[in-house]
Amino acid sequence: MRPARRTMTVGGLACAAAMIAGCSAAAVTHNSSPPAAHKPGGTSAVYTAPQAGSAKGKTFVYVASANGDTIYGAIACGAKAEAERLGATYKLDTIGPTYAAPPQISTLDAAEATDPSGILISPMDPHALYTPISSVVSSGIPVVTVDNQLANPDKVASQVLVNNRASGVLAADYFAKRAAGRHVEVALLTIPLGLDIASDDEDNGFIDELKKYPNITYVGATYENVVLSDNVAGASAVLARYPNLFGIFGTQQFADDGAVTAAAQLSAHPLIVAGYGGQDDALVRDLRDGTIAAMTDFPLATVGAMAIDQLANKIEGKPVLKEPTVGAILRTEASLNQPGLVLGSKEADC
Amino acid sequence: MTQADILPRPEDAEDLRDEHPGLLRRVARLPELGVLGGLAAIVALFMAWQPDHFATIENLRNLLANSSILTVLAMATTFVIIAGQIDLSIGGIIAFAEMATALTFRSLGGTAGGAGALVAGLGVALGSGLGWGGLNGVLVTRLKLPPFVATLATLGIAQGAAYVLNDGSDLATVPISLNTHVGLDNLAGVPVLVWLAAAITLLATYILRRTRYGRHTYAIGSDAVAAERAGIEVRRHVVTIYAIGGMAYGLAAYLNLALYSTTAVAGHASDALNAITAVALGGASLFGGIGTTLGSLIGVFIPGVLQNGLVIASVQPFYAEMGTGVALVLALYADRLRRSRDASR
Repeated sequence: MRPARRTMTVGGLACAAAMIAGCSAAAVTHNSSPPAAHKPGGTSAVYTAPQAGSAKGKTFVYVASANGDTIYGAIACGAKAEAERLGATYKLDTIGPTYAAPPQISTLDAAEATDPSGILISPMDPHALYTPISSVVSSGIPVVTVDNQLANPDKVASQVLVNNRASGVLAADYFAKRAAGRHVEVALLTIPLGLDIASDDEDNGFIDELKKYPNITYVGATYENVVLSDNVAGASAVLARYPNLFGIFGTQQFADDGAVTAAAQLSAHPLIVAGYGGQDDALVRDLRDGTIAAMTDFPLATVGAMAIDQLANKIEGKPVLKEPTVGAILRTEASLNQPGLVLGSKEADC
Repeated sequence: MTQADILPRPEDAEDLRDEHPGLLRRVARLPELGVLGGLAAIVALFMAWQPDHFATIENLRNLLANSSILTVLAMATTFVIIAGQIDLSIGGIIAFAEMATALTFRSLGGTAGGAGALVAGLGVALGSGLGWGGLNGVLVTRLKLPPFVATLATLGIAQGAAYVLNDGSDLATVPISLNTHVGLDNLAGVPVLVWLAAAITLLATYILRRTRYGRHTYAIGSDAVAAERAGIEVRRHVVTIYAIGGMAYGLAAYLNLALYSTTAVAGHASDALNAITAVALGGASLFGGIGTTLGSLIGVFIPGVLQNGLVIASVQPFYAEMGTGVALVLALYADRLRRSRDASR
């Protein structure tokens, strides 16, 4: 997991790879402005964000993941800002240091007991949370899942997703652009298939997209874990096996950190693209100083805001998107100077 | 001089049974011989399988560098195991020491921190490790909690405290100079981390083989009651073993920061198991009284070489975990046979 690398069944990817152009994501319109047109990488569906102050007197609770996880923290900041814009009271409940279903179920039960107007949740398990969430919904409290999702979403009002496949596609396209037609080799550092559907989707997006480029040889995936020393050792071995390796795509934060350290130890210079790295201070620093070439990212504050909007619309009886999907962004060092861009743990500091 | 001072060392006890062994017989009796043979076989396999990529200077240098921090852990754990103890709190202590040190760095300039930050950070890392280790020792010797439970408890407390320190978020506030000069630099073509690990190994070897402290460690692990009767301050000695061990884990935390430039609070769950596995693979008895630093050093490299060689051969590294597990079973079975043989004498 990165550290909270989600257990997710990705659905609703109508946007698909063909629509991914490598930049931008879903946008949320506020007030009575025109409906949001979701840009490449995200869903093409549209919705109207509720008007400011329209949820006055309502209470929204976000049952997130482990406290301190900056990915969920960034989502929470977006949700908080949007809830405040709507005039609602917002509360964040984290589940302790572990990414596990049991503490999240206890936290969800506690949140339900406070009788909120609606609950956002990032389920730690696509199956184990189904019954507890169904129980909350049957008590009259609408639930929206955000980022992670349930295997069976029939009880939730909406599930707001990110397009993990697009992250892999962007990485593959980036290598192709940098290779400029030269014959090169690239490797994938990820976690074993089946452990995390989000990661699987990212892997598949990368591998499938590479097939479009006959000049790029995909040398295979090496499986990593959360132990940095293992990941450095694994990346070192990959670099020893492929000393002229052109690029590494790491789908997990720890895999990326391992690749960075291994490359420095070996004085090797593969292009390292970090998947989903925007909330990690170390990776943002590495991008700034050129240690990694690029990273894929998602506008997680937008994700949180979209989730609050679906919840507010559900309560008001307005149309709700069942599976809005936010597209991926490719960030390079040059793009870091974008005005107002907040990355790293600051994105989760609100 | 106490009675304990005249206790024979384990290797000397062997010698007493045969006062004039030949060189070959002495080599054949080396407890590390089996595990050394196993490591040599694995190395030979990969040299034959992947001669162009495995048997290179660069790969050897990487193997050494990537094993250096585990070597520090294994040296401390060797003392713990020989003394008949166990320490499961290693990962928690490292996570806490990493976070406390990173916070220190942050308050002293962050990535731009200078020599003062490096020294202060080292002090915090060693001090926090010493504190947690000392607490382990007190829990085991004063409160008489079983080491397994006591250190399991401190694992959770230290891990939780590490999360509390920065609300669960990792920190990347390590001075660049630490990463550059300690984590990634070479001295005479060998990574600085390897030199440091070698120094720790030599120091541990000297203490264990040549000092009264080392002999007392063996004596306590062999029979704590007998050691007490022989005049050894068993409780105090055990406290120092845990405390010094904790300090070594603090040092490992500092070296982790030097190498990776970031904390990894969630990434230390397997540290204790890795260290204990290395020590057990190296021939130490989990029942205490038996073990060597050389054996533990070899034990460190078995999983490391397996992982490195298999990835080079494009085989997923979790096969290395299987291989390490099989080697561990063999090592523990050999220990059981050894103890059965000794008991029947």
